Amino acid sequence: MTTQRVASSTLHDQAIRYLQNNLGNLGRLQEKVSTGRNINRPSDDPVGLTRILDLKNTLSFDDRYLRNINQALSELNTTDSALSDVTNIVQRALELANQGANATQNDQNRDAIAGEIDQLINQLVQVANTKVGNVYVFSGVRTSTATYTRTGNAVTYNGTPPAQAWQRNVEISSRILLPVNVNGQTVFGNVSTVAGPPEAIAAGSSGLFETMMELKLNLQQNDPDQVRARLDELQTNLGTVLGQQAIVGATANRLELTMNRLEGRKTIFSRDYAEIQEVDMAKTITDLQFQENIQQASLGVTARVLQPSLLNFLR
Amino acid sequence: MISPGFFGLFNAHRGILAAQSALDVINHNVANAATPGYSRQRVDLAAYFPYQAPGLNAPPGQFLQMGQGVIAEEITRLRDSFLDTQYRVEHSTQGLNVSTNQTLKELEGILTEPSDEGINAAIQRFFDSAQAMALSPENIAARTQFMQSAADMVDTFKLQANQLQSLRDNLVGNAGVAASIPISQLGISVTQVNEALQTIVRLNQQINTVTASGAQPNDLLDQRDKILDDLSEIIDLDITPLANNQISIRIGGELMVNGVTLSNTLEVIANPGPAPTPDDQPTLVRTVTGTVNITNTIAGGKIRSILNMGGVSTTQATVRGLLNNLNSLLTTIRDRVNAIQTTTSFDLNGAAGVQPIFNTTAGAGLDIFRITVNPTVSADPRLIAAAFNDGSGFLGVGDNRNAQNMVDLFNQTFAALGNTGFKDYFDSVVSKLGIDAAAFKDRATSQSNLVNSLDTRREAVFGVNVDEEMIDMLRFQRALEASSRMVRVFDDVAKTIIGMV
Repeated sequence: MTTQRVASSTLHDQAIRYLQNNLGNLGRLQEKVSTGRNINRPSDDPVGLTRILDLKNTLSFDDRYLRNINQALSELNTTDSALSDVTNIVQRALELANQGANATQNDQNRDAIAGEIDQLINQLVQVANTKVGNVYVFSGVRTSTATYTRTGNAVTYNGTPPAQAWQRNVEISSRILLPVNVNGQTVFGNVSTVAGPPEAIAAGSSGLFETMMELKLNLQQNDPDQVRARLDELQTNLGTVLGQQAIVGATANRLELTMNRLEGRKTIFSRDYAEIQEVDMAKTITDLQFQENIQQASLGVTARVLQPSLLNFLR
Repeated sequence: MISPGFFGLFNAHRGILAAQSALDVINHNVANAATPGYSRQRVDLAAYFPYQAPGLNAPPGQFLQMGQGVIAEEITRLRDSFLDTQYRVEHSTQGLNVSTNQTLKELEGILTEPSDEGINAAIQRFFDSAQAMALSPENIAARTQFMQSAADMVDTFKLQANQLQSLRDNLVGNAGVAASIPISQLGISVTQVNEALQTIVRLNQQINTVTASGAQPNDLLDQRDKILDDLSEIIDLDITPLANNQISIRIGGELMVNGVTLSNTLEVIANPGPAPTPDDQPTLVRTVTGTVNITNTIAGGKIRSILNMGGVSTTQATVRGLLNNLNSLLTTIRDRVNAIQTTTSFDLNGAAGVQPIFNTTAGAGLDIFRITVNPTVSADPRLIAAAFNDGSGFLGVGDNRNAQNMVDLFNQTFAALGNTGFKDYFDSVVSKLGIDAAAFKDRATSQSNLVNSLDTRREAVFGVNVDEEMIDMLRFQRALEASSRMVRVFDDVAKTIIGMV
């Protein structure tokens, strides 16, 4: 077997190629260490890339859903405390109505009680106009419009009617929309009156405001029988308020559950993301040092191999 | 036996001459040890034809065959044309793979994925701000933010589209601007090929003349081989040997060089239509004896890669293909968002939504370069139609149903995007690019290794080894010294004889 000839330039060319290869490997490891990322361009890991793009999108949308849920929760909490206020007001109205229904009360006393009911109605209007930020919570989608306006004995509802399609929905996770508002009309109703005497409630009135206004008129008109009839209606109205409050509580629960689920998912997805994208520093730095040694060695070898020539010995 | 008196001197003289020419060739080899494409040369030595000396004891009519020393018959170069052919075939494939790998790397650089500055993140931010607007449709700040992220998304698309366009112009030129073609990579490569073909024709003429005179045109052949080696990286060649060491060359099946005749040249032309647009794909043709389109018959070399990357392909990510992908994506987003915006909707003022979010200015070429956000809406974000018209009239400023419809676009799939959604479409484009770039990185590396090993094998045949030349030098130095010594001996012999007289 004849040995293969080796041309002088072959050694040079090979030395350069090997050194370039080593430098290229060093460069790739250096990039990993200094960016801290495994995937710096699509070709680094095409499959891993689509996974981290997915995870990034999911994480960032989940962040948005969490912010949505937080805002919805703060609105629901405000609604809840407003409804608690309403409950207190209705209970106070029940006490007053009980006093007014008592046959021992005289005309002046009933007028005084009517005055207090009037104040309670004002308080109710105030509570019904509760805002979170710039949003009137009981106005449906007419968020910039004060929910109720009181003119004399008329209390008018200005929000959207309580049809399901007109609720304000918040997206709490992909394509899951949850209504977060309690419709003012459902809780408070509205009232208008026809001029008397005796002044009377007009048709089309409803709900808590109707009962309260009628109670006030009954007291002013010194009619304990009618006042007694209002007591039952107030109980019914209170039931409606408590029912709405229960819905608010249930919605808040559901939001909190979703929030917990999203938080849990975030932990898992963040870990998955890190596993794919974040560099294992210990390993990479070890690799880098190993590669450095190889580079040193090949530089040394090149220096030795390229030096000798027969010429050195022909003296 | 009788030999002429000065026979020995002539014999030694021939020895000196042969050794000298061998030393000259060694000198030439050593001087060219680092010359690319140089093949080492060797003097073919042979015994000179013998002198027929009449011998006293020889039978009548028979002569003694007296050796007359040495002669340098020919100077040949050591070259393996089979390895050359193999090398050039693989070199073409290497040119294709390496150049494609480079362009794909540039594409990866343009898309800058994965990052927070890329298109994926821009689309994400656009729909995120749509979500924020859906949450607080009455909030002007949220609406302003929505328009800003729309503008940011359009800018990101356009920035990358412009980079892709200029990369494509750099590769194949812009068919709409005739002057851009000769300075494109395609134009420059074609010029290189044409110049190389001219040089080869000139070399064929010289080689023909020298060979016909009976000599070996070693250095001219080396020159031509070097040009063919370099040329094969640019384009794949079909080389056929002709008489007197000439060659003919076919490119893409078309005869370009035929011995001493330059049959054809290559040319790049914009599409043959009457008014080429920037979108037209330039065509590679061979001209002179009639125009023939050879764009699709070229199989290898850098030019194949340029033609591939400048055009569209169903199998491979290309510059033009990527540009089309981004164009489809942005136009689909534009069409869908605008449709929702201007159909059965109300703006914040309670008026029907009529202003689109995205405008497209009139002009030629792809829409992606002409899409802008609607300045009217940017100036007055109340005109964004976040409320839905379900037939009951405008319900209120908090109605977010139309905005929610816009948000939901992110979850939908579209026929225009191959029945995928915005995100999946873009992700699959990026992932296809990544797969191709990784594949071509591997192919370029392995092909380069193959070419290098072929080159090493070729070099083993024709490369100069200085040590070997040094040993040969010593050999011929000694031979020359010995022959000189013979001159001295025969001189002494002659002197002795003359002194006797």
